[in-house]
This record gives sequence, C-alpha cells and structure tokens, in this order.
Amino acid sequence: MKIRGHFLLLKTAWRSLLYRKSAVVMAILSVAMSVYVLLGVEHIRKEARSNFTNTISGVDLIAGPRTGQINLLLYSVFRMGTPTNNISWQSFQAMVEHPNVNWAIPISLGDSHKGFRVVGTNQSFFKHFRYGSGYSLAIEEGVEFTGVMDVVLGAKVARELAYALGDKVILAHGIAKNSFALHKDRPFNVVGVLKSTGTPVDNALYVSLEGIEAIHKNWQGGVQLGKSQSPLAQQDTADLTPKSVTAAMLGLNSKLATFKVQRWINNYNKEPLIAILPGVVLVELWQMMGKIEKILMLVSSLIFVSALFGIAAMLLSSMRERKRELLILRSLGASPLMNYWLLSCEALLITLLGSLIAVVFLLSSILIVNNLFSTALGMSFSFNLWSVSNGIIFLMMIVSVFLICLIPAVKIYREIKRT
Amino acid sequence: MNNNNRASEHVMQESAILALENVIYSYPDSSTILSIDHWTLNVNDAVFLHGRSGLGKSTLISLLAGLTVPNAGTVKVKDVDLYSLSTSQRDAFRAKHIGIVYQQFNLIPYLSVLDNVLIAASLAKQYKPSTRQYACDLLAEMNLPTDVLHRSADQLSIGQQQRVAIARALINQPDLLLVDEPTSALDSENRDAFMDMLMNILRQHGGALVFVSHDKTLASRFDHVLDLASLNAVDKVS
Repeated sequence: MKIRGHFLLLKTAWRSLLYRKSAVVMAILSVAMSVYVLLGVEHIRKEARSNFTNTISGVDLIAGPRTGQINLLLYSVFRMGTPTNNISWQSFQAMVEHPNVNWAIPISLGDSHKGFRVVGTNQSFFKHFRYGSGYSLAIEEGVEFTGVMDVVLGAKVARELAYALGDKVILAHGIAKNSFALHKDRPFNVVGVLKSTGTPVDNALYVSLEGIEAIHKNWQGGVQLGKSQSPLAQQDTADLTPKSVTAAMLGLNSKLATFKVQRWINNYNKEPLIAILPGVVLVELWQMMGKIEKILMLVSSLIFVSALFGIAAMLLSSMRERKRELLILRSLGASPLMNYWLLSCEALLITLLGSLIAVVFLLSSILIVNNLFSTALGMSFSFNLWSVSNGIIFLMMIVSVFLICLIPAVKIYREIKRT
Repeated sequence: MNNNNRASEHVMQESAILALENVIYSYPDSSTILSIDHWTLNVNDAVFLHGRSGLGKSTLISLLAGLTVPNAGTVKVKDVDLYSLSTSQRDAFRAKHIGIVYQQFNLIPYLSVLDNVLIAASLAKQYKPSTRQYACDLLAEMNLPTDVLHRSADQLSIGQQQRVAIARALINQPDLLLVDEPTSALDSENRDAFMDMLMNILRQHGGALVFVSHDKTLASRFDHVLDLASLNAVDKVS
C-alpha cells in the first residue's frame, strides 16, 4: 500500500508537470542551458589545464644556462621568449655522459622561418620526446631528418605554410617574423612532416644541430660576413660539430636520481647552469595564470546561481495555481511535508531532465568540435565529463533545489494555516 | 433554530461526533471573527448551517477540519481534541475521519477522476485492493458514467466535479463530512439533482454532515437547521 501511495505522489508530480507543459519546458530548457554552459566552461577549464600540463612528459629534467625556471621552460618547451645564453657543447656532452642520464635531447634556438621557430636538435628528439600521457612523436609523411640540410616540419607549420615534401625552406636569423637577415645561401629541404600533437611541437621546424651550425658558418654576431662558399662543398669538409646548444632535455635511468642530477647540474663548476623539473614548473606556471581560471570559475558559479534562480522563479510563478491543489491535498490529509516533497519532486524532475539534455548537448558539441576544429585549436576534448568537482556541482544543485522548494512550500503552509 | 441547537446538547454525550468548547478565532490583525461557546453534533446528524457570506463560514469549516488553528478553545471530533495533536497527527486524523467538499475547485485538475478519488485513500493510508472497486461504486452512486473515470478532472462539468468531490470525501468512510457551499456554482436543476444524490448517499453510508450554505431553500432537506449568527457570539454582540 505504501508503494502505491508513493507511486501516486510521483504520478501526481509527473501529471502536474505535464499540465503546465509550456512553463515546464521553458524551465527545463533554462536549466539545460545553464548546466550546459556550466559544465562546458568547467570542461574547457579542465581540458585546457590538462592540455597545458601535458605539453611535455617523460622528460625528467630540462637543463639550460642559469636563468629563471619559468623562462627556461618557456623557451625550451613553449618556444616563447628569448634564451639569454647558451650552454657549451662540452657541458652538454658531460650531461650525456653522466651515469644517471639515459638520454639527452639538445635544443638549439635562435632562427626562425616566417614567424615559426626553428629548433636544432638530433635524432633523440624523435626517439625520446613525449607529450600528453606519454605519446611519442610520429611522422605524418616523409622521414626524420638525416642530412645536414634536411628539415622536418611541425604539423601546424606544414598546414599554415602549405609546404610539401621536397619544398625548399630558407631560414631567417633571429626570431622576428619579418627578418631581413636570411640564410639565403643555404636553403633546407623538407623531408618530413610531424603528426599533429596539439602542443607547441606543432609550431616549429626541426633541423639537425649540424644544419644550424652550417648556416651560421660565416656569421658572427648576427651579421653575415662575406659570401659563403658553395654549401655542399663546404659542408662535406667543414667541422660541423656544434659549439653550443640552448638547452637540453634529459631522461634519467631512474626517477630517484632526479634530484641528484639536478643538484649536479646546478652545481656544475665549468659554467653556471640550471636544471628544472618540467612538471613542477608547468604547474607553477599554470598557477601564475590562475587568474584566468578563477575568472572562468566565477563565470561558472554565476551561471549556476542563475540556473537556480530560474528554477525558483518557475516554482514561485506557478504558486498561485498550485496553491489550490496543495490546499486540496492538505484537506485530504497530506502533511505539509508531503506537499513539500511534491514540489521537490517536480523541481527535481525539471533539474534532472534539464541536466540530461545539457549532458547530451555537451557530448554532441564535443563530438562536433573534435571533428571540425581539433586541428585548428591544436587540442581535442575528452568525452569524460565526470570529475569530482562536477559531481560536487551536481550535488550542490540537487541540495539547492530542495532548499529552493522550501520557499513556496513554507509560503503555502502559512497561508493554509491562516486560511 | 436555537431549539435545535439545545436539542442536540441533551442527547447522550458519548454519541457526540463533534464538540466545540469556547472556540475563538481571530485574524492576524486581531479582529475576532468566530467565537463559539458550545456546540455539539451527534453521530449521523445532518445539520444545515446557514449564514451570509463573510461571516466566517469557511473559517468554521477550516477549524472543524483541523486546518486552521483557533486562538483558544477545543474542537473535538470523535472525542479527539484536534488541536492537541501535532500537525502531522492532525493531518492523518483528518485524512481518515473527515471528508471535505468545497464550494468549487475540489479536484486536482490534471489527475483522472478515479485517481482524484484514490489519492484520498492513499493519503489516508487506507488503500486496499478493494479500494478501486469501492471508488468506482461510489462514483456510480453519484451518477457518474464509467467513461468519465479516466478522463482528467478538468474536462468535467462543474456539477460532475462536485459529485466526484462527494465520492472522494466518502472514500475513507469518514465519521464527519464537511460541505461548504457545494451548490453555489450550479444551476437550480443541477443543484436539486446534486442534493438528492448527496442526501441519498449519506443515508446509505452514514456519518454526520455539516452543510454550510447561504441558500435557505436547501434547509428543508435537513433535520437540523442552525443559523451561524446564533452560534457565533461575535455576531450576537454586534
């Protein structure tokens, strides 16, 4: 009998919603809209964060000339800002030979091509660099560079400049977009294009350290000295061993050695060096940009509050007609608490339906965005909307609905008491 | 009319279904609207309570139903002091022992006719397997054709709605039926038919009836006729 009673209460709530169809549909859509924006903003915030902190992975230490930690991270990983100094090739070799160092990726910066940075490195970059949750780099077409004058393009570079394999690329000295100091005499040959990673890797051109050395052979202090000799003839004979690199990414044999190697680099006595843990500094950097995150969270919470006001407005505006029904139920022996449950049931149904619509919409939006814009955005969104904070938001919403329903329920209770 | 009042006083006390003592009700602005020193009603009595509008008829119904708390005094139904009960106990008591029919809008418009009756049984926790059949019987007794049972209540005429309200008020076999101007929205033909059915069904099912109306032409159908003005001490003074 009890089951039948609860069933009738639910049925009454459901029928009552159907009776007020148009107002209820509007309320459901307003909840759906708010939840959609709320979850959407939260999702973008989280995905942006994880995309950011996943820019690099598997690299235990980044070593560079003594500078700010964040500065080193910015130019070595994000190719932002300018390196102030280099580390000598001897120091880099010392790192490679350190017993705890498994591999080392040299990075040599300073040149650019049409606004994109050029990175001088070696094969270990393709072999050891990781991003996201441990993905390695892959070649979309062509091969990794082998010759001195070979260049491999990041996905975005290839796309934006519409380069194909075999194209000739002339590098500019310095990083200005419209540099006049071009390495015209030594064009590079496009031999490969990397697959899109959604990280700053896409925004650069990759050449060998020897290539960097070759184009600077007759340069000094940023100025070309005289005409260069026939490139090929010289390259074959000249010593192209680099004199310096800008930074080095290190992979260690054991994570346990991280601090030991870091200390060794920081105390390196032949030149002033610094080693950073990229993961730690990435998080620090993100926290520096925390303002953006806080603004997004503020927007989210305002939307959340507006959604609750929407539900409250719907409930209160229907109260004049509801009053009669609730009085009828009271005269039939329904307790004020039961009237409250009835109102809560309805508001809850509205909230759940609205949230369901919002989630379906959001998932389809992610599907569309991932399919159409993921290459342009350089990131793709995960379909997993579940997170602890979203769970908390949802719980808070349910609790708020119950609290909001108190307002009309108490109002009705008082009015019936007074008649 | 005072005679009727006094007559019911002298009947044995234990057969009183309703007993009011020194009941006072004032609006929140402190103007007293009802003041009843003493009033009892016996089991199976049907009383016609007559009064002009605005004299607190509906408030009296609310007081008798245990919906509106009086400022002073006791209201006993079946020897239970309604206002010594907690709100939820009072709600449960009302559900089981008191049936109420209002002037208009008695039904929940979006529920079917049958569900409107059944919800009363459900709220009184009196829902048994036989309840559904009993509800159909009551509705049939009130001359409601079977094809309206599953229609939503707002599709019925006002006369039909009032009849459904009577069936619903009787579903839990209450000891006391409170009816407040049930015919005011009906034309004379419908009104007479409604009254015939009400008195008939009451005779069959038993229970005391308090019938409140300003329409004196209905008084002839009742054994007891009482003027609210003579009952209410506030009116006597003014």
